This record gives sequence, structure tokens and C-alpha cells, in this order.
Amino acid sequence: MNERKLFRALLVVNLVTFIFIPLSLLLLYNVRAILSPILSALLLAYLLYPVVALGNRFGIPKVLMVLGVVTLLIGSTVLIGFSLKPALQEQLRFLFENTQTTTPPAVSTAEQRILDTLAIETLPPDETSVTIGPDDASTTRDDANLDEDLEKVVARAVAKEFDEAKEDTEEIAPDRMASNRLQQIVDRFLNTLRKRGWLTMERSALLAGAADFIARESLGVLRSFTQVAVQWGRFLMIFFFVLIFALLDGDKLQKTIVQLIPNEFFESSVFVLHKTQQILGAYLRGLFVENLIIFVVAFCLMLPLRFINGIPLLLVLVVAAIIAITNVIRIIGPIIGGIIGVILALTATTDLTVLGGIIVVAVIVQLLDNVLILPLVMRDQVAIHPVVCLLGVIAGGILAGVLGMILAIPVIGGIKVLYRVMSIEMKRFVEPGQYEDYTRE
Amino acid sequence: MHRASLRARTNLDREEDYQFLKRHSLFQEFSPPAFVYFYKHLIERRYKRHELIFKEGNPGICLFIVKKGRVEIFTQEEEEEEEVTSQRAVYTTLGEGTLFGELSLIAMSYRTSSARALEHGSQLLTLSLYDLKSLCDQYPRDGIKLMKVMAATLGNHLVEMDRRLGESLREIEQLKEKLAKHE
Repeated sequence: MNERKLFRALLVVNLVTFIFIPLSLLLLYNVRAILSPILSALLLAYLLYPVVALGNRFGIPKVLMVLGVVTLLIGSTVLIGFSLKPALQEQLRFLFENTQTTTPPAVSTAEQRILDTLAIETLPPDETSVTIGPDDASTTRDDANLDEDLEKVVARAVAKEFDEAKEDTEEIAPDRMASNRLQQIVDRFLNTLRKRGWLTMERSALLAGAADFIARESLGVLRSFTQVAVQWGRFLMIFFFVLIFALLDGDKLQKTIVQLIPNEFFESSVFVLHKTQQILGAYLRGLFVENLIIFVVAFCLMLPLRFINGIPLLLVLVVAAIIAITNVIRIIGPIIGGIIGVILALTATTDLTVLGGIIVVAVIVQLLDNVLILPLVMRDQVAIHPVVCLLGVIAGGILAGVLGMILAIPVIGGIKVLYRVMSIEMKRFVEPGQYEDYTRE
Repeated sequence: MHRASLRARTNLDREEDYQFLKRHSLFQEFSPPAFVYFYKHLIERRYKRHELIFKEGNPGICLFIVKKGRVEIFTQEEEEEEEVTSQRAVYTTLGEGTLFGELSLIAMSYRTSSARALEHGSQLLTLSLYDLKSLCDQYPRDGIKLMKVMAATLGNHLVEMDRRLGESLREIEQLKEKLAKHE
């Protein structure tokens, strides 16, 4: 009997280790595209559920509360988006112009590919002494006329292709960033052709090459915009769908999950579920409030840099947000935040006072957090080791991108809380006969 | 809003568990919203014949109401070896509508006895300690009523135990007298 039990236990352990865990990881990796919106929606629903429950307690129907919360969320997102739009455009333009002036335009792989395909021979850099044959002067003159015609034809073709691509991209990018990029590509292409002796080419081959080149580049720009739009559309659709249903039917979902638990484990599961929710909820809400305070403090501390050194408002906001987000990784998080902040600031300015200022702000914020904010806001019940934190963040990044990196800490927190409840909280019941206040948490 | 809650209650009226609880004498004095809250947080469990509901020594977190079937409350010594069947003492057998498991809930202690279903398809309604706490927070008056119900149930158990203890003591005295006469 005992041997049979042991065999069964070993079988279960082996099955879980070699089949269930690898399969789950594989499944997780394959569905990572929908994992991040679902996880973030569930997390937000978890944070917002007390608000809905509070409204419900005062007699406001749940549907109305959920509608209000979601409307507020969408409204604030749109408002922030619109208020940041000019600053974002300004910052992007600055970044774009900066890279354009500081780095010489290199021949892109697409251009190189076209040039290779067309087998353009490199001529001496002196463009005026254009010769095809080594001694035939008439051929040179005829070819020169042909070249003039060809130049006009190519210019017309390129202009046509360019105008079409520009019209298309302008619909998607009203700030003309895409068309500027396209203009650059075309200019660089024409310059390269002039320098490399396009005169020796066949007319049709050149036209085909030019058209192909323009089509590829413009399609690439369009495709990247469409891809981003589709990705965000899919993300937002799943996110709000899950958020609304989690807020509306969160309690029913929980009840259904509990009902599925076998009778043998029912009571202990109810306890584990509740206790995990309680500790994790407090941890997540504390984490949210703590990082919100850090964001505000970092933003306020960096504002003088904007007024003194004139760095863009968007950069101040982004660096403050990065300092706040990376702060969830204890000890090394603020260092990472400071480094990323400095790297970001380098895209806008090379002023040493700004870079130094960001580091000083990161240090002050960290000190304030450790001395004042952390002890006040949360009791830091779920202390996650920095190495685990870092590995988790990297794994989250592989699984679900930037959002996965942000969600990694709450997920690790959840696992740690579960372990803590199973190992410690389950042993905290009193022996029969020793009275304990039922309100004890 | 009032109309909506009235409609929700009318819908609930059609549900079997709701009707069962409404008829129950223990919950007659509950205010309608508290009763709906109480009902919505109950979880139904089904048990096979002789299936364990809870085991002595395990953490107690739920209150049980017998909706259908019979439940046996008993104590059993820990089985050290599987071949040796230990002595099982039955405290009581509970029928439909009875509330049990409240002691661990109030004291948040380990279970003092075990419980098992005596009939196949026994149905129990359970309420967790945390839902009881939130009921007390949201509807304090009704929370007190429920606590009274639990206190009354505990009191009944105590009275029953006293009676049985008295009977046992009297039996022991009689046996002692018989033994003395015999000697």
C-alpha cells in the first residue's frame, strides 16, 4: 500500500517536472502576445476592485461604478496623450535632427542591396569627368545627352513615387516625421547614384531599381506604422475587455474557482486564497502608492533642471517615470533607473549639469524612499531579493516585452506571498481551547 | 435603484438555495440586503457517502449549513499504521438545516473534531470567516444576529454536552455502586 502511494507520488512529481512545467512554459511563451494585456488588466482590476466594491456598498450599482471607472481611465489616458503630444513631437524632432546632424548618413542595407542588384560600378569621385569608354569622345557626348534625359526621367519617377508615398504616410503621421524620413532616403539614394556613376546603367534597370527602392522604403514606413497601430489596437481591446469583465464578475469568478476545488482541499484553499489576496493586495496597493509618490517627488525635483537648462518637459516626465518604475527593484533598481535616465537625457542634451542633476535626483529620491516613504506607505512584507527581482524582470521582458518587465515584480510578489501563506500562515492557527479574536488578520 | 434591487431579489426567489435559507428559522430576522449578501457569499459543496468534510487538527475557516443529507461529527485517534483501525467516537449526527463548524470559525483554531457525510449526495452551504467578517463590517446589526445564532448553536452544543456528561457521570456512579456491592 505504502509502496503504491510512493510510486504514485513519484509518478506525479515526474509528470509535473518533465511534462507539465515545460509544456506550461512553452504555452506561456507562445501566448505571450496576449499575456501582457490580460495580466495588466487583471492587475489593474485587482487594484481598482476596492473602489467598485466601495461604491456598491453605498448602493451604487456595480455596472455604473465599472462604467465610471473605465470612462475615467480612458478619459485620463486620452487627456495625458493629447497634453503630451506636442512635447512628444518636439522631443522626437529634436532627437531626429540631432542624430541627423551628428552622424553622417550611412548607406543603408536596403540601398546597398539595390546598388548591388543593379551592379553599379564605382567611378572616380570627380563627377564632371564622366567617361564610359577610355578614348571614344563621341560616345561620351552621346552618353552625356542620354544621361541628361535619364536624369530627368529618374527625377520624375522618383518625385512621383515620393509624392504617392508622402500622401500615404501623411495620413498616418500628420507631424510629417515619416515623410521627412522618406525625403532623406530619396536624397541619399540620388546622391549615391550621382557619386557612383549611374550613367553606366541601363535606363530600364535604373528606373526599376529606383521604383523598387522607393516602394520598399515607403512600404516599410507604412508597414511599421500599421504594425504599431494593430499591436496597440489588439492590446487595448484585450486589456479593456478583460478589465471590464474582471471588475464586473471578479467575485463570481473567484466563487467559481473555489467551487472547482476538491472537497479535501476546500477549507485550506479558501484560507490560502484569501490570505494571498489580502497580503498581495496590500503589497500591490502599497507599491503603487509608493511609486506614485516617488514619481511626483522626482518630477518636482527635476523641474528646476527644465527651467535652468531648458530640457524638454517630456524628458523630465519620462525620466521621473523611469526612476519610479525601476524603484520596484530594491537596491539596484534606482541605479538602473539613474543610468537609463542619463542615457535618455543624452539624446536631448550633453550638458553635464543636467546629467549630474538626474543622478542627484535619483540619489535623493532613493534616500527619501528608504527613510520616509517606504516605512510610511508599506510595511514591505514581501521583500523580494534583488537578484530574483532582476532575473524576473529579464524573464518578463523575454516573455512579454516592456510590460512583462513591469508586471514581473507583482507576479514574483504573488508567488512569494503564496509560499509564505503555505509555509507560515497555515501554522498560525491556535490550539483548540485558546480563544482568539475572530477579527484578527 | 430600489426597483433594481427588488428585481434582483425577485430573480433570487427562484433559486433553490435562496428558498431553503429563507425558510430557515435562523435567518428570519435578517434584513433583506444583508440576507442577499449572506446568500451570495455562500458556496455549495456536494459530498459522497462517508466523504470527509473536515478533519480534526486541520485549520478551521468555514461555517457549514446542512442543506441536504446527514452529517456525522466524530473524533478519531491518529492512525499510526494503516492496518490498525483506531477507535472512533461519534459526538453527534446532524440533519438538514443544522449549522456546524462554528467553533473554529469564532476562535480561528484548528478543528476540534472531524465531520463526514453520511449520505451520498449530501449538500452543504459554507461561509468563510472572511465573508462573515465583511458581513459584520457592512451590516453590523445583521452580523450581531448571526453571531447570536452561532452563540446559540454553541450554547446548545454545550447544553447537550453537559447533559451527556451528566448521564455518563451518573452511569459511572451506578457502575461504581454495583462494583462495590459485588465486592
